[in-house]
Amino acid sequence: MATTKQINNLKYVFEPSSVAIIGASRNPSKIGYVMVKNCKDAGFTGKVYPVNPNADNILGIKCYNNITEIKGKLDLVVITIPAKYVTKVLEECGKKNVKAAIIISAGFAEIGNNKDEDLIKQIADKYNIAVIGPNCLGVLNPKVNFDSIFLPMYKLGRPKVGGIACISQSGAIGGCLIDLIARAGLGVSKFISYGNAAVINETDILEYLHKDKCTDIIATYMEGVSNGKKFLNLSKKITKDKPLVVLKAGTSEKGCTAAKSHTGTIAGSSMAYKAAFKQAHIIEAHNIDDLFHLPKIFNQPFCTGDRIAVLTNGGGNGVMAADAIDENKLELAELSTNSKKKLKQVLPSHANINNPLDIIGDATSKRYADSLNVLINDDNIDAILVIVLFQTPTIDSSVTEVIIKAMEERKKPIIVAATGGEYTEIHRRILDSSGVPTYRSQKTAITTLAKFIQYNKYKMNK
Amino acid sequence: MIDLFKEFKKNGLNIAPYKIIQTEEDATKTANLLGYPVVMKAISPKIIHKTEFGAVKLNLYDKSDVINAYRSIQRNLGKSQLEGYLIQKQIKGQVELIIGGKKDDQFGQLIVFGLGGIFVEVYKDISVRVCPINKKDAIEMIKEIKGHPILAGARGKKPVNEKALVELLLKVSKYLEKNDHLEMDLNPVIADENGYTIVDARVIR
Repeated sequence: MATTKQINNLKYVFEPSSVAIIGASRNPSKIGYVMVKNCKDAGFTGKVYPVNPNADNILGIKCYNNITEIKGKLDLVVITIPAKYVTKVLEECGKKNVKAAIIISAGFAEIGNNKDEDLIKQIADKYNIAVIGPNCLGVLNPKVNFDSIFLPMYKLGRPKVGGIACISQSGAIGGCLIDLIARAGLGVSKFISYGNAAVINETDILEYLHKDKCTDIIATYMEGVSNGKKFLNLSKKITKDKPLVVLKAGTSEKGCTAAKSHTGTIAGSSMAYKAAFKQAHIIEAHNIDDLFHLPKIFNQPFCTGDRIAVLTNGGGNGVMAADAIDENKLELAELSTNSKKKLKQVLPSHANINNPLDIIGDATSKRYADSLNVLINDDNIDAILVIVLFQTPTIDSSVTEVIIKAMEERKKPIIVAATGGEYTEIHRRILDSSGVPTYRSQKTAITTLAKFIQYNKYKMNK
Repeated sequence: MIDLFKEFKKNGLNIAPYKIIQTEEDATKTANLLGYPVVMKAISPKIIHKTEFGAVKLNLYDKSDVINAYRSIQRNLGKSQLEGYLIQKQIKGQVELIIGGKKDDQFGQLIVFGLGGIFVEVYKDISVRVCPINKKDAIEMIKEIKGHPILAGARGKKPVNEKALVELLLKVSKYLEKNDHLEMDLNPVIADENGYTIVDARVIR
């Protein structure tokens, strides 16, 4: 657990004005090379100091033998050298008044090397350095184009600027997550892979992000917390201000076998986590998809009503949506008489004016536009699920503009379910990157919407 | 168990009326006093699963039932294992509940609520919260279990007094926080439209 000073120094992890890369390399297959290249390619405008005693320059940037040679102040160091040299460098950092360090290097507590990990903690505490890691993937802040992730940009997509903060204990999951977020065209405020959490742990990062104005919602992957009570109390505070989505892995129960009572046998540690999440109004993610499916819906207008309208050009998809609405304890909205009258005027005579509103397989963008115009103005409806079968002959890309336009009126949440192959996926990305949350199935869409409404209800009554 | 019952009473929990006796004569006297039917349980610190050792006798309706039960327990356990006998009024109610506590490594005391018997053992139909809980948590815990319709009065039965259960959960949460036991079972807790009665309890300290 970190001190307040260290937590405040996280500012230099995310927005450094100068950064040294310890272990910078000329060899393109080395992490130290990718780091320097990414800093350069991302368009980072702060100072970059590669440190490598055996090189004069890397990618045209002057190289230094060690950090003491660097003139002027240094906010952040990124350390990629072997574990045995790390503590020595960290001590030098302290003496040079470096505010923060990201230790990418592995070979510490995760393999039983507690001695060096404890030493990292001691040095960090002595000099108030905010240390991320060791054994982590790094940090990304698209707002200032700072990118310390050691995975090449052509292999791992980088998200644009947005309101979602992503935290991951695991670098592997964290990497997958931002790649998926980038592909969906969504944006992040910050990404942090915190690894072994020798100094800065998940609760410290949450504390920082709670106050971070660029962060609207926090998505976290974790295998555990370092202090349950502290995490629970902080989470309760955070969820009063912004949603917190958590994927907790390692749910298989162990350690229950030694229990002697009924209660002891049934109530394992994963139940404790679930209980804590409920009490803190944390939104629980059950898989990696949830970790961005859930956050992205929170750009929609505040909504505490349960009455959902379904607009579709495919009958079966509408029926499945109705089932999902029922399963999630939401309601199918009853269209107002006025809406029914208006819809009769704009829809073909054989269309059944009901909810789900099936505008039939030959629906055009215009029919979507006319129907949406009625639905967004109907006070009997709290939120709208738009189902689009992009596969039909009469639908073209302009339907995305129709939906985006309706969403931009911000009268009620509008989300999209579209199931299909590459053609459909391209249109989903257009919608997602324009701020319309899309889902591959009506079930995921409705489940996500239900959690969104549930959180808003809590926020209204808190 | 007896110390526990005393502790619970002090904390304002409803315990089924009981008395500890040693002799056969006291057994029949006490049964008369409490009113039939009664149950008899062996008091023996070494036995965990009382039923399996023939240390619990239910449905004792008259004097001869009580005498038979007394002798049977003595036979099954042997005098050396016995510290005494607990005679308790047999509680009739609508549903059996289990309320438990467990110390979790990360979050500290957890409180657990569920319907007793197969609902807990087979379906694991329980709700869990981290202590301390508030009134809203307690209400949620009761409503959250799948078997809640049974409490709400399924099949024409009267609904149980959920308000009393909310009070019970709040008291148990306080008790768990104060005592920090490793594990605890209140099992069974018998509930009906009037309230609840704790019939048996165990703690692992």
